[in-house]
Amino acid sequence: MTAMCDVAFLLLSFFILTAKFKPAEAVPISIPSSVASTAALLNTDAFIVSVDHDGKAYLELSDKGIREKVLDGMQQLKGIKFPADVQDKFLASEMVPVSLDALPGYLQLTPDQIKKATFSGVPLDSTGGELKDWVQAALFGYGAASTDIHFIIKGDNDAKYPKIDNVLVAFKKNQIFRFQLLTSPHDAPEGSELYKQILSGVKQDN
Amino acid sequence: MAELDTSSGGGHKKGSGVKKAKKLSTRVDLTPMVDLGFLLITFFIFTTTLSQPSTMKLNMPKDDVDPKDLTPIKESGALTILMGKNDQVYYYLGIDPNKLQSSSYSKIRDVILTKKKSTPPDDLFITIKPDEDATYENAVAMLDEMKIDAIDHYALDKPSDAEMKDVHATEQANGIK
Repeated sequence: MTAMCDVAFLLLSFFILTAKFKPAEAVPISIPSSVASTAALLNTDAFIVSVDHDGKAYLELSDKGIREKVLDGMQQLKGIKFPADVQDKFLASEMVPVSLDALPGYLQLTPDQIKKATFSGVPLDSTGGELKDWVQAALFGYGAASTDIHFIIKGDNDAKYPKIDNVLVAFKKNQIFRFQLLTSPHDAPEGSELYKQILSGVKQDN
Repeated sequence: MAELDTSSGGGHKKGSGVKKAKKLSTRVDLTPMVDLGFLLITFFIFTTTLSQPSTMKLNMPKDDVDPKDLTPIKESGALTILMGKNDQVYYYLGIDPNKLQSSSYSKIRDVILTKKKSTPPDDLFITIKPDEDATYENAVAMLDEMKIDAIDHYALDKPSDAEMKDVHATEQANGIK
């Protein structure tokens, strides 16, 4: 009997240790909920623009593949070439929270310094700001495969709408009209039109 | 731990000759319950799908459309919803912003549904205009409302100056900071 308890606790410890934790977000963002949510593919080719509650924009690129292409695109676009160690650090970093000029400086920071620091975000204004250049770099880097990129906006609940509109302008100037808003799923309220549609089996084109 | 030693009764001699009812044990063997518990835990561990982030799709129209390509919206089917600060919602029917009425996120559904019932589906058009103090949550909630009420034709736009004046006037009149 005691032996079985031991085995059970060993199994429990194994599962606790192998559970993957959510990657610690550098910027806390609380996303709104929506009835129109469907499961997202965030693993590859996701170009995520996060907007925190002050309206600062951060760029998060999901994996190394997209980061390489965006870096190439940006270097070609601006006609500059970063030194090799800056390039390597960019490929390993999770996000872009500063302007292009301050980027090499940011990449030299250690993870502890990053946690403590506050950043000014990617410059954004009503004409799209530097975010427009990043989007253009991504399209450039992908070339013909640019339809593979998922453009996602992860906005905070309290971010003022004009800031989100600026992000939309940055996308629209690059001719991107289809994108996704990161929301948590929410059930259709009972008795509403959508509820009745779902019950009668009408397919929702999400 | 799960077994009780009931063999102590066997050591008595058959001396008394009186037949006693055998003492039954009052201890319950709990091993099967523990087994079931662990089975349940293992089952749920294996079948749990970890929560994945989900997204809502948004398609925007091109900005540089020719005015002659735009289909005109019928005044009778138009409903404009303006969102201000502090989660305030205002709306007006038709094209006259002076007829602004106040509402809230819970009451706007009734307004939309009444309008929907009284208009032919091709004429119905709802314009959503968040002003500079509306939050992202407000905008997503309103877009959600379109989906909940099964509205097909709607647009996201910037409020005009006349509308902004009316919204500010209403806010001052209602004492909203």
